[in-house]
Amino acid sequence: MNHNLPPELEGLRGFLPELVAAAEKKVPYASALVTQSAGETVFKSPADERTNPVPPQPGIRISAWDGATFHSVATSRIEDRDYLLRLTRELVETITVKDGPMPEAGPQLDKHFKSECKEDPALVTTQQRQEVSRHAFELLKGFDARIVAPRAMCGYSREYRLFCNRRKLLSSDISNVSFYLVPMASDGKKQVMNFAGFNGTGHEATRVSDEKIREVADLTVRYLSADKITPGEYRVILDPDITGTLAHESFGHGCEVDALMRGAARAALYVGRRVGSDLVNIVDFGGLPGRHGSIFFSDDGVLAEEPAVLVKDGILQPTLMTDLYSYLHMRDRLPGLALSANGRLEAYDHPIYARMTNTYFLPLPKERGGMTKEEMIADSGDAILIEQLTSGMEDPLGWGVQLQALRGREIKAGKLTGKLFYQVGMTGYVPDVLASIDGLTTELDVSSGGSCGKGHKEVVRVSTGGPYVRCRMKLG
Amino acid sequence: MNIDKIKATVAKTEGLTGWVLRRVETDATTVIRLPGIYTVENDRFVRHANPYPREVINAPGEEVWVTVYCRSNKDGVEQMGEAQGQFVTDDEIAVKATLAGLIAAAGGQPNKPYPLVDKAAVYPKVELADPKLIDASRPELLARVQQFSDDVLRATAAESGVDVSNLEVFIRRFRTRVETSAGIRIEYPATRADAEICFIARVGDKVAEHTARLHARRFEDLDPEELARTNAGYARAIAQAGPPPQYQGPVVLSGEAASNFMRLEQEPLVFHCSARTVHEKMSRYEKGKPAWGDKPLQGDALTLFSDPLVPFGIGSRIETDATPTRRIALLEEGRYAELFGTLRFYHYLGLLEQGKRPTGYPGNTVVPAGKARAADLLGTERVVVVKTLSDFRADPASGDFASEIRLGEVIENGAAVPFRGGLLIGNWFAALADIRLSQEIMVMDDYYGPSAIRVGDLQVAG
Repeated sequence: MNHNLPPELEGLRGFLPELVAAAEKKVPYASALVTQSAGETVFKSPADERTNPVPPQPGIRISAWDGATFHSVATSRIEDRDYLLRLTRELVETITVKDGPMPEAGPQLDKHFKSECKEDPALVTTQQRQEVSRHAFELLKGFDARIVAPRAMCGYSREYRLFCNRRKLLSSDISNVSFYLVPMASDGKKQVMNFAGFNGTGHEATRVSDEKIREVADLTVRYLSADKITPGEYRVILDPDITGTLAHESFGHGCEVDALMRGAARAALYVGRRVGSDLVNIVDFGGLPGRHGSIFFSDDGVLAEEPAVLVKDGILQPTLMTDLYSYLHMRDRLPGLALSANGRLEAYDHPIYARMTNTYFLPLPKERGGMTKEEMIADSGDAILIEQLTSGMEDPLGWGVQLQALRGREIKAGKLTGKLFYQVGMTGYVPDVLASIDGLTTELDVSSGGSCGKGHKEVVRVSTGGPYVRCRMKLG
Repeated sequence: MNIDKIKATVAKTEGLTGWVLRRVETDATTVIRLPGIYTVENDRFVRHANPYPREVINAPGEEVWVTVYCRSNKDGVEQMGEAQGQFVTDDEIAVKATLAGLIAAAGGQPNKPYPLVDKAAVYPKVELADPKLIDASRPELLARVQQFSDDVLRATAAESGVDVSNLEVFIRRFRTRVETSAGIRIEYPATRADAEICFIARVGDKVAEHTARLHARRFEDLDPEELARTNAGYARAIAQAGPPPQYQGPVVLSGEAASNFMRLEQEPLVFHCSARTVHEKMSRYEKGKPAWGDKPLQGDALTLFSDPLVPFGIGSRIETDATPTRRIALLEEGRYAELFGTLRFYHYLGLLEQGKRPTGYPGNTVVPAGKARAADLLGTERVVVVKTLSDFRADPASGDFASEIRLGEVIENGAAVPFRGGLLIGNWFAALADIRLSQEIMVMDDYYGPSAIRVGDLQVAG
């Protein structure tokens, strides 16, 4: 069967069971994971236009379980099968199997998955991508003389993954298209930067209207005269990306079971307890189609079929996010724990940890009080509407949360005043912030393209989202 | 892969103005330990010893990269482009296909032409490889990693109320060979020893975790005793710390926070002192102009170097895309001095023609010692000391920052009250108008400079 994989991966796919079998002559469980990339990025700035292919960076990782520890060998030399067999035999020959928990290989399955899109980015030419970037660049540049350094980037990446254990042989072909606008403006004294990103699985993600691009440029120029927010506690309305990042940083990281098993997630003490208002519903779901953090199966070979429900109606759930190692060590210690599709790695030679995928607040149906964005603004009295996340930082033990956004918009007496604040930092104590949530909109928006590290490394692609959420936070 | 075979194919490819070929052979050993597994019993964490590593990864590999440069004439205008790609095989047909894609990508770029590095380039001698690591066998490496992690656990066991909750050690060895179309060929080894260690403190019912991220080129630069003592102390202090104050006034950045504030990777100077940014007219750089702005200078005038030549510095490097690196002062006595940049942007700015050599990417951050003793920087009035920040990042364009404080102290009448949380708010450039640097020096990651910095006016939003 042809899976439309690159030829070297198509051949390797059929060879992986041989590697796993070679390892399992000595150990009770082994698996193989192969990763490779493809794609192209076009970058346009006043000083530069660059077009670069995404490097393939092929790699294979063969892992063997001894009852307590994973022993892995990883190499970029995927084309040499004799070498791979030799590495596999060398890997297992010194392993002593211990009396410990054993993974299950799961049901027999041989399946290939592929992202769906309207316009296949692989069929788009370099020239078309250059035209997209140049057009956006010219629009930004021509909008106002104070926009001195507009940048536009149009790119797509293709991520191939193969997984094999003695029962499963899985492969996926995931495409991600990104279109970024980063205009910078200067009035001679002050420099400001704006950012807007558009993501999807197909080239259609780059079909951004001229009006939208001009809106990005207009905001950039307005940042030059924007105020700084006076530090203090405010009623805030968070846009969907910030809402999702609040979920990600609060009970996302706190529900990664490997954080919990090392005693570093206070969430462990709160399973089954209230951690937010009853409007709070947080899930992580890699199987949500076509999002930046979407996967078909985890790097442990678990199919992304079920969302991990982390918080339901304000109550922390026992359905945590697991990787295989953590699951094996915790399944007898945490009743209700399941192996979820959250075991992910940054690159083939890195460890697999429990990681998020698409993390989001569920919106509130209209019949339960869900509002439109406009209704929420009108209902909010004095507040700040915060938009365009730039970063977030978790503290799953102390339950502090730190978020940064590009702008805040002042709301007075239920109306946007037009006053803008540039660069807004948000902090709070997670239970207080989640308890203060008193309004959500009805629409789910999980369209951001981001990345997440475990601490400052092990970066994987993720997305965040949800509805607009109203709560109280400290701003600075 | 046979790099000579790839080189032969690249060298005879038509349509290339120049190329840089790079092979990096890598060999990595990673050990991850989870010394205790925690469960919850009666609403309390209970630790179960876990003597076995979580994972041991051995990763041998190689990567071969090429950067191609293509010059063309479009409608009578000379233009140039470049593209970088990776070879995954030395098979001639595949190499040619990769090159064809790169030439197509580079050929359409409407950039002004620029020179490429020539054979007369002289490369600095920089020690990048730990002799004890570079030639060690894999079992020897694994034994050293095991010994190091055992030493950290032993040293932490002596710290009251603190455990290591996660320990990751990464040893990487690189052998790099660079060749160019101009006939340059250089080869050099390098090593890295990195660790990420989480210390968790439980003091009564208070608990906190502090993560130490350690980066070095030599194993001996990672001192298990010292890192256990310092970071266990941080974890304990964070656990016992109270809420943050509302405060505006002098702030002393100490240790890790001082490093965060000055490191080129985290502050905005790297943006404004880039030849690219100056060319794009986005920079506030103006040679000789004060970086601190229009206010009168109080305190010390900051001198800051980018130095890629520090022996065994993690920010040290010999070349950037085959361009030799060099040390430069970005600020001299608080005033803008030299610029980072590649041949291309040095040429665009006319710096090459003034006899300046390009610098390549930033190196280590080196700040000369100040005059004051660290203890004297505290002064006699109420002052906030910030020891660690969650993730200090100043906005590259404006220099504004608002970073969460992981651990700080309010010092008043000789008494220190620890706190955690709250935002440290200010502007990096404005801060330079009133800073004082300690005479004590520290080395942390790629930062070599004062271990304490007093900034005259910052805000803490509690």
